[in-house]
Amino acid sequence: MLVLLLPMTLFLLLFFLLPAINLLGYSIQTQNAQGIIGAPLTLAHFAKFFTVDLYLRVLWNTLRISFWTCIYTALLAYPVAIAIVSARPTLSRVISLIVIAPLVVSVVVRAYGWQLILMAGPGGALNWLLLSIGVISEPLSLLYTPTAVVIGQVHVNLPMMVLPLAAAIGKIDPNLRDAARTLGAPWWEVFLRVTLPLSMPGLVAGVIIVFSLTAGAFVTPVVLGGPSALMLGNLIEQQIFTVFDWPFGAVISFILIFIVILLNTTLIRFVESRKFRRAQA
Amino acid sequence: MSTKSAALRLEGLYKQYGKSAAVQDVSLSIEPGSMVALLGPSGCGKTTCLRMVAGLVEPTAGAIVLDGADITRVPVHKRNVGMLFQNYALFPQLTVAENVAFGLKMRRMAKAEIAKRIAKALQMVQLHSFSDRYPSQLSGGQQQRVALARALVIEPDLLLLDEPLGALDKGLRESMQVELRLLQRKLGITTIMVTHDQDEALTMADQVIVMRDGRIEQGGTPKVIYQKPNSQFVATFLGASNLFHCQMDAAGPNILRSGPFRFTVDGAVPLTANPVICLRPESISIAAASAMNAEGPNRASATIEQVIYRGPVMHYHMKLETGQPLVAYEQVRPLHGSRAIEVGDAVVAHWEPSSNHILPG
Ligand SMILES: Nc1ncnc2c1ncn2[C@@H]1O[C@H](COP(=O)(O)OP(=O)(O)OP(=O)(O)O)[C@@H](O)[C@H]1O
Ligand SMILES: [Mg+2]
Repeated sequence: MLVLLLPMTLFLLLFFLLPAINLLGYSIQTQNAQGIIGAPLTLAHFAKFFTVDLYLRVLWNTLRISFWTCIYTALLAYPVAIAIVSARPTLSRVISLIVIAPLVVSVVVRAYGWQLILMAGPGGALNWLLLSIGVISEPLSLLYTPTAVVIGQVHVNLPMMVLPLAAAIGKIDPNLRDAARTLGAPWWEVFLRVTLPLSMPGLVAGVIIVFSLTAGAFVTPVVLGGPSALMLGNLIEQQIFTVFDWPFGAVISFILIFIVILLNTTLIRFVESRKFRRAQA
Repeated sequence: MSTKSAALRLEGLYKQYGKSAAVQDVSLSIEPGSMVALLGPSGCGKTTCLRMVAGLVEPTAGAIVLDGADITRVPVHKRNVGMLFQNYALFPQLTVAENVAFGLKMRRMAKAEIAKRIAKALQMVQLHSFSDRYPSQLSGGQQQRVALARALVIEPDLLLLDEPLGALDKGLRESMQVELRLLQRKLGITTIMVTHDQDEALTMADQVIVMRDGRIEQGGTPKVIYQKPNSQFVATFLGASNLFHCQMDAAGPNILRSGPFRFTVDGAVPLTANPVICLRPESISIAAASAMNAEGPNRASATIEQVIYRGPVMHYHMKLETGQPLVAYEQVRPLHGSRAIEVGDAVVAHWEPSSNHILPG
């Protein structure tokens, strides 16, 4: 068993853990005028991050966008996952295929696709549609807002939420839903009291994946978010490739990784907590 | 816990799945407070029938009438039925008390009232000391009792049981049968139970409905179903039967003939094309060949092939001169000493004319 884990462990060690430690090293060193990174050790870069308004705003943007992306992805994914589980085999395979299909298209292409749809003025597909059916009288300016980033991310991440949810819901004994119904529960109570709590492991897995991917996103915010919806990923990219301030880039990366790992461990601990596990058994 | 007894009527229920019909033209009337067992082989549509009554399956045609009101289109959650599932279907994330509270919460009952009813319901199934446990910490029998408390606490109009004891071992099953039946009688709740265990149906039900291929084959009290089956299917499905295909005999209107054997019946033989005699094993007596003449009606000479000791009864498997098998059961009476009937013995099997039950061929 352990032997089987060896390649994976080596891989993670070489390509994740060592670079991460290296990164952490950069974040507390000084870069001189020639661009050489070395002594003396300093916490000045961290201090800079937490004192400059712009950086804190970007951090807040990142958390907000990731949070809402998780919420909306979950809201969209539940009906789809329930449909996959309860439909007849052929139909359920078709739905799964439709959900997974967008994965073969690059994130960049999909972001530009959304740009065409969300574009401001009557030229944007969504504005054109809403204007022509008379839902709105003035074109919306959705593009280059955090909302646009959330929309793009929800689309990109939907399969990552649907698949673990469908797996978890598929494991729930259908008699439990029937029992709830005979006891007087209308469909939403069945969902809230049976399907939702018993699919928690799937939801937690989905949230971990979606939050991590969104918090680290930088293509979607660039294409759909623009300057008002900058995320940590964009800030890192600027620091490394434009400003060449590697220690500060390392600080931001470190903060990003820290947030993601903190969230993941908290959620995993919740799923594995004794009370929760016993209830699932 | 008080329940008003409701009368249930099923009128021509059909359920079509694609091209095949799971239930066809099921009509039946259930007296308030009585217990009906749906009995039949696997796939005959018992569960489908029960789920239509619960509202979990929508009938293709027909009506379900409860106390004179047509509830065919009433959604499940408004039907007020209690249902028990074979695998208990307790909510694993809720404690025993929370499981029992579920239906009461759905009815928006006050907290104090809920607590009172939970206590009473758990008392009724003797599980009051288990209220804080999770279902996974209970045995199968305890889980089913929680499910029973959960179903009864809402004071349902109907109690529906889908093979409720199927997952329990034999001893526990038999004691739960008695317990369930006592409780059902005490509460006077109209109940439908699905089972494919004929003993369970005969033990528990006021009425047994035998089903086959989606249709009702015969319905009646356990006694009628057992003693007066109206088809070979019912005769062989409930208990063992010895069947003889017969013709009318020229000797008289009350005599049937099957090969070398003759059967007399009380009164005239009803006119059926190919009558079949059904002879229950317990109505056959055995005498040693030396002590009885095999000539005459309602007698047959046979050879003992196997003797099985089943505690209170002996099973004798015999072979008739025609090669046909014949089974007889005999009560074991320790005070009378044991009979020395052994494998290979030549015997005469004999029975009363009233034991000859005629079935259509
Ligand atoms: N949802 C469904 N879709 C299609 N066919 C079904 C469905 N449910 C039941 N059937 C079919 O209807 C018939 C009756 O099924 P049902 O479950 O009522 O039988 P049963 O008498 O309860 O059998 P068992 O003793 O095995 O539980 C079967 O042939 C079954 O395959
Ligand atoms: Mg069944």
